[in-house]
Amino acid sequence: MKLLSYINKLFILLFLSMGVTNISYAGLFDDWTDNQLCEWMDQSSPPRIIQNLVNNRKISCSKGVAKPLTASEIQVEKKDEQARLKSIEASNAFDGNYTFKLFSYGEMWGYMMKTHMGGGFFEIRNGVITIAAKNRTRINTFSGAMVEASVDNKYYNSFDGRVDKSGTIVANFLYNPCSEGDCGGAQNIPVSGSIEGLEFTGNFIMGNGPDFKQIIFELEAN
Amino acid sequence: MTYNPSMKKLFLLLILSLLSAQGYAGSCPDGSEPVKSISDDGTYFVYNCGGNSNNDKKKKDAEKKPAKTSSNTNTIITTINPVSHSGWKTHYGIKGINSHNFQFVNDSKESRRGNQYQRFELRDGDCFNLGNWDDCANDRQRVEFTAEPFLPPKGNQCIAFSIMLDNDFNTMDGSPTALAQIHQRGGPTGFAGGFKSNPGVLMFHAQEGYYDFDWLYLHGSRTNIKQTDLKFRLLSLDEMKDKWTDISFCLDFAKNNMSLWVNGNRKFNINQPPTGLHLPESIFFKYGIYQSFVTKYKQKYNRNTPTQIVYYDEIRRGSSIEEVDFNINPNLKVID
Repeated sequence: MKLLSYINKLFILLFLSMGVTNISYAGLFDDWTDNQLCEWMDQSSPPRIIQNLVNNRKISCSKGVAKPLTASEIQVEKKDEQARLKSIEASNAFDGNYTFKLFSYGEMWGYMMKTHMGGGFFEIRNGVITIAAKNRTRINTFSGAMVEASVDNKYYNSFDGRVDKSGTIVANFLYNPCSEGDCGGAQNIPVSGSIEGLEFTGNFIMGNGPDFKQIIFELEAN
Repeated sequence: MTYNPSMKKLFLLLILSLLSAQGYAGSCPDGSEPVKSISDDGTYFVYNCGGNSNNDKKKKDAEKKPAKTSSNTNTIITTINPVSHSGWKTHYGIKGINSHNFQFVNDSKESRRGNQYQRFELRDGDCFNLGNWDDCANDRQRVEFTAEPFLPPKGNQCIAFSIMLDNDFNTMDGSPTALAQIHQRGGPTGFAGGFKSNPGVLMFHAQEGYYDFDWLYLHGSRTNIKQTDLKFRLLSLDEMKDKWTDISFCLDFAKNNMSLWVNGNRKFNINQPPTGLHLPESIFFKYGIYQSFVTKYKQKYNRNTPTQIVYYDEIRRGSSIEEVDFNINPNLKVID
């Protein structure tokens, strides 16, 4: 019994120390120039984190040199994202506020685990879904501590969704369920689901795939 | 006290990983102490086991290898004194390795250049206590040489080596194999997975069918450093089997640049400080075979790690690419 108690304490210590050492730090790669990113792109399989940054900066790379995307190239990119949202007709049938919890589900230490990542409120106005600035939370995934996220939480700000009159939703969500800089950085995740099903989900691709972590928004039933 | 199923699985995982960290270090295959002497050409120390233990299966297997083996497979070599024009003074190996782990091969037809090259072999269970680090206790297997002198993080530090994989070389899904690396001494420290870590500088990894340059981008404070691995894919492992590949690279601390050549052709030119923002006391080159997280592979496939055989030749250092890469400067003398 004493041994179990000791092991238990060791685990708590391990989880706490992992939590402490996995604090997110904003601005990773911010000081890299476009060309410095592109120097890593001249290969058959560039690091995903660099690829995502190149996409986010709206540049293209050729032989290690960066070039801004043309207006028409940006238009094509935006079209893909917007096309998803326009694939359904937004309706005010479900306007209101909805409490949600955010989870990731995937392999951890060889086991499939569902991890509570945070929470907040969806605001639906005229069928357009955003995440309210107030009461956003983020969970420290290792210590389990609830952290009040700041209003400018970049991930929650990125959520952009639509709901139709049947309650079907589509959304885009820029997110990284891993620590900042890990797992290839944030990805734009296509999210779908239904209000009545109380769940929206999307897949975050790990590395170059096919493995992924499922991102799950669970709505609280009224 | 009761634990939920997830915690029980975690305990089981912890116990299994502890059980898997057994030591296998030994001196001679038959357990006897090796006898130290100097090689015929006086360039390295040899440890001779002398005895002919016929009950050691590993040794028998080594002797069955049809080609590219040393004429004396009983010799245990842990120190190499390379020729001075290589730029190196001494290569130190791991004490306690077995005779199959490292041998010189004398064959001018098979070598990259000259008469001699180096053969590394890593079998399941080949892990050793390095003194300040125990590979066996940390889920690693390795046979590596550390090249001296250690190098200051100043000016342009260029290194070259030729590498060939055995035709049967296989990687282990989930358990990367490092074939050469640059480490640092007196550099920043941090934590990985909750444990204290002293991150390296770069590694050459064989994984997922490719040979990758894996730069450890270090960021954060000197005592709480974080690392993000950035890979540059060099070539497929199939292209390296039974065929020499010449790798050369320069870490330019003055210009904050890393450049690499494969068979004399520039592969990349990356403008980054090689060791990040925190300079170490020194950097050093290691080569051989180094496997990490071997339990992951063993558990996933329920089998032993595959035997890996890798050959090295023409290991050189200098302060410019012309001083190390014989593709670029064919006048460089052979290293035997």
